[in-house]
Amino acid sequence: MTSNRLPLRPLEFLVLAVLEDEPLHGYGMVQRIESLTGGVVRVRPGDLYRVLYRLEKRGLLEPSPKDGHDRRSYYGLTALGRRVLREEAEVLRRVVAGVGVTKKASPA
Amino acid sequence: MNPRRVWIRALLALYPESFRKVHGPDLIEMYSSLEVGLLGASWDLLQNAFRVRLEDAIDHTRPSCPLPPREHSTGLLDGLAQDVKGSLRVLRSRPAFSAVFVATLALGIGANTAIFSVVNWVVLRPLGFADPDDVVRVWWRPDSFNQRILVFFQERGSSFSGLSGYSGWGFTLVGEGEPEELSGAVVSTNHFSVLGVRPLLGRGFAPEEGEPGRTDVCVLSEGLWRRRFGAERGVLGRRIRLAGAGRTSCAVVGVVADAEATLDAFGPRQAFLPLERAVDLEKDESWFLSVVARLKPGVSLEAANAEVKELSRLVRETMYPRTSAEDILSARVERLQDAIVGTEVKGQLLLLAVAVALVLLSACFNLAALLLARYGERECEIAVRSALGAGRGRVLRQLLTESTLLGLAGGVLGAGLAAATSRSLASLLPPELPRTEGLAADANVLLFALGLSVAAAVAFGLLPSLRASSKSGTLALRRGAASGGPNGQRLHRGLVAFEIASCLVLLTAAGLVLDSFLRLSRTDPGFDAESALVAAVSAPDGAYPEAVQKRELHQALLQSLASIPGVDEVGSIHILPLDSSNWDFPLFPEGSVLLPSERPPRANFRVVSPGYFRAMGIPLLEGRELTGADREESSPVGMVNASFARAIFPGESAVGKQVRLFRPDGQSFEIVGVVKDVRQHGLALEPRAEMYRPFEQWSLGRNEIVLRASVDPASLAPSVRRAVAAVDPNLPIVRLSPMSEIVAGSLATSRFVTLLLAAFAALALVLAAVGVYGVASSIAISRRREIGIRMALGSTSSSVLRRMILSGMVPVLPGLLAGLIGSRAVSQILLTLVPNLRPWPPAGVLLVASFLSAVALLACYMPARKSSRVDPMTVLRLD
Repeated sequence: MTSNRLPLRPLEFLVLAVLEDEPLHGYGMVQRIESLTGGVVRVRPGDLYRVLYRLEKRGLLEPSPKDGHDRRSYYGLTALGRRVLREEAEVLRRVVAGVGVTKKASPA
Repeated sequence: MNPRRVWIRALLALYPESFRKVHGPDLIEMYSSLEVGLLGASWDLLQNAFRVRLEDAIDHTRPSCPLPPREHSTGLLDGLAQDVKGSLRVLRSRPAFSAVFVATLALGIGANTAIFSVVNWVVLRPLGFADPDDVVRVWWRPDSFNQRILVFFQERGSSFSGLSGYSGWGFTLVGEGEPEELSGAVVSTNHFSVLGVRPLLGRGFAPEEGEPGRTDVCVLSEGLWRRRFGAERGVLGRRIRLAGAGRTSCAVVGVVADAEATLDAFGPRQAFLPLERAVDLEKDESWFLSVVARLKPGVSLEAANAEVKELSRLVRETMYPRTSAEDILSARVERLQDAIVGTEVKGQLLLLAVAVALVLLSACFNLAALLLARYGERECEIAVRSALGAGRGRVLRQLLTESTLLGLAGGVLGAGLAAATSRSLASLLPPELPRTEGLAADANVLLFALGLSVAAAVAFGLLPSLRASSKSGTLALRRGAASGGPNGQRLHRGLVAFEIASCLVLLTAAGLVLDSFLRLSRTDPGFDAESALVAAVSAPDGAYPEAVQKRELHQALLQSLASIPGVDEVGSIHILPLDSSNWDFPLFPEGSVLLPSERPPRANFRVVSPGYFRAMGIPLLEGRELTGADREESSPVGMVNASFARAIFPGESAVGKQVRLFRPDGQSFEIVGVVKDVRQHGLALEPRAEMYRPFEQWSLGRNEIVLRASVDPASLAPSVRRAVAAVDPNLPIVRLSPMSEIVAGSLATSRFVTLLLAAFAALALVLAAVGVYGVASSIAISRRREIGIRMALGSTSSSVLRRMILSGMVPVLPGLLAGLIGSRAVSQILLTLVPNLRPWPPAGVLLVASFLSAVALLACYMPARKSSRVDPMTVLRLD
């Protein structure tokens, strides 16, 4: 079934990527995406929650139990989400390996 | 409360509730804490609210949408295998659809393949000779070479490696069990070497076997050898009796393959005898030879044509000064293959091929409409494929693979159908059609069926696939109903308009041909075929060698047959009307003077018994009939037909005139009576001038005896056999059939063409009706909601009915117009192919067009009535 979810849109991939290690809330995701991409990608909240809404409907992530009295919702990957993330990362790795710029930049 | 929060909360109202409930608080929280301008936040929320709703809407329209398999776009072959696998799965998932589809296609392709197999066998199959393209027929006047001209051509013709003269000849094989009539030929002794025939057994003729007194040898065809001589090699050297050949017996010297025994349109000859060399060429009167020849390698038809014209000019200068300019102009060579299968046969077969192709095209268009609707149902699958990144080309390829698979399935089944029915098809073919023996499907036919199925797949698959795979098409599919939205309906209507047009063309063509056939079969042949029975009796040469013996035998036969109870009149003639053979002689009427360059008139020549005209019901117009008193020793007399009297003695009575045959000083006879014309060469052809001489004054071994009976003629057969056996038990009866059957047989080709065309037209009519029905019902479905509203707003069901019928009939009018133009053109072509055809009759075509419209109207009425009968509330609730 995972194959049916591919390919992911860029923002979907990023969301799944930052959730790989631990569940996060929305604000946390925005911050992690920003640091992960070196400040290149700044996610607007509207876009983020639209993607969360979609990924949840597709069963790739789920609300995660929150700790203590935090009112914000946390989201984590489902098993399916984790597999989709891995497959997509593999695809991207292959793509990246084939791009000229990276080849040139790498030592000969 | 913070006004910024209030504003954001208000914007959140644009999101669906399910989204708002889960994510609303978080979004408000984030936008409160983030350093984002209010304008930017508003835009972000606004467009995302729209996008969430859009995505929800798409998901909602196809909640159970199956996701297509992931595309690995690797090599072309991998892609193809994947396409085929995917297509097979799709086709298997809809067995009823696939079955109807394939069956329709199989019928269409089967019919086309069957017709093509005839075209292939008759027209395209090369002759059985080596280098068949170099084998030509040499024409000069039709069938009228004599040995003197043949020898001249053989000596002077530099374009030919050899020329052979032949004449078709009927023999009767006797003394080998049941006597059998054979279609044979007398040929030049070099015949087989000219045509490059290697006998299967023995040899061809040696040059000395053409010398007078040494011609008692024969070559048999393989078919005859297998059938009558058990394929024994020992047949070589055996003497057999061929009655009608003018030899008491012949030694078999060779056997040739059937394919190499073909000379002309009359099929393979079964026995060949050598042509006896004329001792004195200058006096040779054997004006009955046809000539076949082999071109030297590299000599073109044009060069040979030019030489033949030059040679015939020399013939006039050195031998026959009466040769006319037309004779010289008419001299030409033609590939034997083209000579055997004339333009008329080719034209008629082409006509049928085009007709059946139109039927297939109509079927393909109906299938295209079916696919349009089918792709409409698969809209979501196609949309998802596109959404997941399958390019247009990829989707198109998938859809075309599906239609090609359907096409191939139809093709295989159709070819199988054609092969299975080829035997019954062969039995349907008219006997006059040349080269039909052994009709079978070969590799060409298989290739044709394959090519046709791929072509058909493109014809029915390409347009719907293009539409379904296009972006706008996807949108249209999403919007529209089964037939794929307004664009789809336009396409659908275009297809149906074409079906209507081709149906009208076919109906007109079938109508014209049927009209011609019906008028032909009602044509007065000039004789009364009802209650007449024909028995052809052939006297073996050896048994009745002398003219007087032949006459006595003939006399005895007539008397014996006349004594059969129920027989009123008995007469005989040596070539029946409507027979394919003919005798025609040049004649010199009394008192006429011919210029040396003028050709004498010619007229058909027949030998009859005195009772013939009464037995055939041919009325006497003037003078008297021949009687038993016109005997060998009395003065020579004869009768002529009305055409003869008009043409040869215009403005005066022919009775009492003298006519000389062959030469100005040839033997003469006196015309004693004039009879009504009969159609000698086919019901479609005008009667020719004809002369009749009594058999007492012109003895022949073979005669067709006509009996006029007051009982059913077919019931007389046993008594006829007994009566003939009473005269001589060894006399073969080579034909025994009612005259009405012979008349019907002469119409076999017309009947065949008419039947097939009518069948194809009927198929086209059904297909067009189905097409119109399809358009009307898809309109009815797509406008169901509109109809519901109209009716809820007070439209009467009859006004809805009218509206629906009108929109269903939209494609019919342009189709009819195109069909009218097309049928006009087709009738022009038909005029050259079908005998006796009436030109395009506007009234008749309008009648056909209105009939077609009525059928179309009915096809529209059914779905329209259904949709005008429904309860508006049911319809509205459905959506």
